[in-house]
Amino acid sequence: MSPSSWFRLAAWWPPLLLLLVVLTGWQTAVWWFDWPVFLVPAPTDVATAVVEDGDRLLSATARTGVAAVAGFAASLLGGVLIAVIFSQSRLVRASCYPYAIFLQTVPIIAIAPLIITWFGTGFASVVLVTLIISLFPIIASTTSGLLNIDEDLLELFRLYRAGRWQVLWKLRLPHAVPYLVTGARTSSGMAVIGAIVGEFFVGHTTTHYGLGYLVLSTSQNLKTAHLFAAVIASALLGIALFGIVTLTGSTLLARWGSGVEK
Amino acid sequence: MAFDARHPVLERVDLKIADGEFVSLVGPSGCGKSTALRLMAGLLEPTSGTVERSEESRVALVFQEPNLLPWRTVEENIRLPLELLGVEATEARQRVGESLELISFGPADAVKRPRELSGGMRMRVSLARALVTRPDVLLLDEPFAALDDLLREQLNEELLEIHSARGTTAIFVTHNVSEAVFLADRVVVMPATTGDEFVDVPVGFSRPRNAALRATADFAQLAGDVSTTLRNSDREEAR
Repeated sequence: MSPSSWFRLAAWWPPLLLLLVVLTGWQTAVWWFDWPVFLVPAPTDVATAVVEDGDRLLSATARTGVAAVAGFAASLLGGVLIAVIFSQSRLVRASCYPYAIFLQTVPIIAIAPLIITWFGTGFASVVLVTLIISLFPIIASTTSGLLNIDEDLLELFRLYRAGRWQVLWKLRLPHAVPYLVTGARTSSGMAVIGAIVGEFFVGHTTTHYGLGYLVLSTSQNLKTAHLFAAVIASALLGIALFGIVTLTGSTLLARWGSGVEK
Repeated sequence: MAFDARHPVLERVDLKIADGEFVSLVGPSGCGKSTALRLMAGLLEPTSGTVERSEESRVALVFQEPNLLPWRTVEENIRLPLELLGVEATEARQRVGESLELISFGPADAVKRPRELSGGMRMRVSLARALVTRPDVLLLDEPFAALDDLLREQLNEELLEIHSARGTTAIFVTHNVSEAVFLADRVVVMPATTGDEFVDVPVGFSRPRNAALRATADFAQLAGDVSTTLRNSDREEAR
């Protein structure tokens, strides 16, 4: 076994052990204090709920996953495009950047009614909320990658009379790739949150729903064990998307010669 | 770099450089050596006066840092100027090959990324990238300042070989007097105070030169003279 796989194994053990300790403690506490199941379900209750609710959980997770991925993909595309436009003009940047920050700070609950008025409830609105929530990290990181370029390199390109497009294509964009990867990691985590929050407010019908609706309905019906199951599924979905983006990113960066040459 | 026309970095500069000549430019820090080089490269416009070059002369600049693009391999880095200038692919491939040969890089080294190279190797690639356009004038802005003495001397010798093989006009900015004398046909000492005279020190040693030159009494004598001139110009600043 190579040292790196040993390292990975070593990294897995402590959190797994902690999980085991917490689960045992939790189970014991529920049994000891005799808490009602709608207040604090025991791990075994949650496990039962997962088995009972398996199909519903899976289809809801898939639905939320598709919305998250669609919103994330839209963020990647739109974010890079906006960053490129920002990088081309100080004036555009100065006039538009404050509104990009608006995306970061606007509470979704405040604009949810507006989104429903314009786009109705459903998948499209959920993707839109996901986009709004996950767009900013891509814009911010890519813009700084496109702009944060060593003066010497710009001089080198100027020396050979490179045009604006050559500088963008051969210098700014490749230079921004590691920045984009960092932004994409943050954004992917937020995309899953965005999709769930979106479903919560703007996107569910009683026949087609994702994890957001499941969280809402189980909590309203005091099916707390099922609520826990939905929360766990949400977390796993987030970890999965984050993991895929991180892995893709580091593979890309390894080929890229990564980071700054010194 | 920020400029203010009321406080010029350089003033009354009168510097003539012959075709094929190797000139070293030395001077105290902040005297405007890099600015002079960027004026010659056409990267900066003089606020008054002109920079004249022979017709259609091609200029290349080697920076203090290698400034390689980390996402490109060695040969892709060397090819960059040709891509920007729109040189056709077959021609470009041949010229990149020539440049790689000039710095003695084999096929295995050519596909490496900058981070896999040592500091000296990166500097060689930076030099090859400058030479790939077959420049008439090669401007070097303290290219070996960050390297240790042994490597610096070795690269000095390699640079002289390239210079004699190509006959390129070279203008070499440095802090290091010994390096300046070893390389040049003429050392120009820049004054610390803008507007003061430039001092020319001719270097008469015959070419080709090798490492043995550094050990001679004549070399030590001349390097001493240049150091004295440099110190005097710095003292005037202090006055």
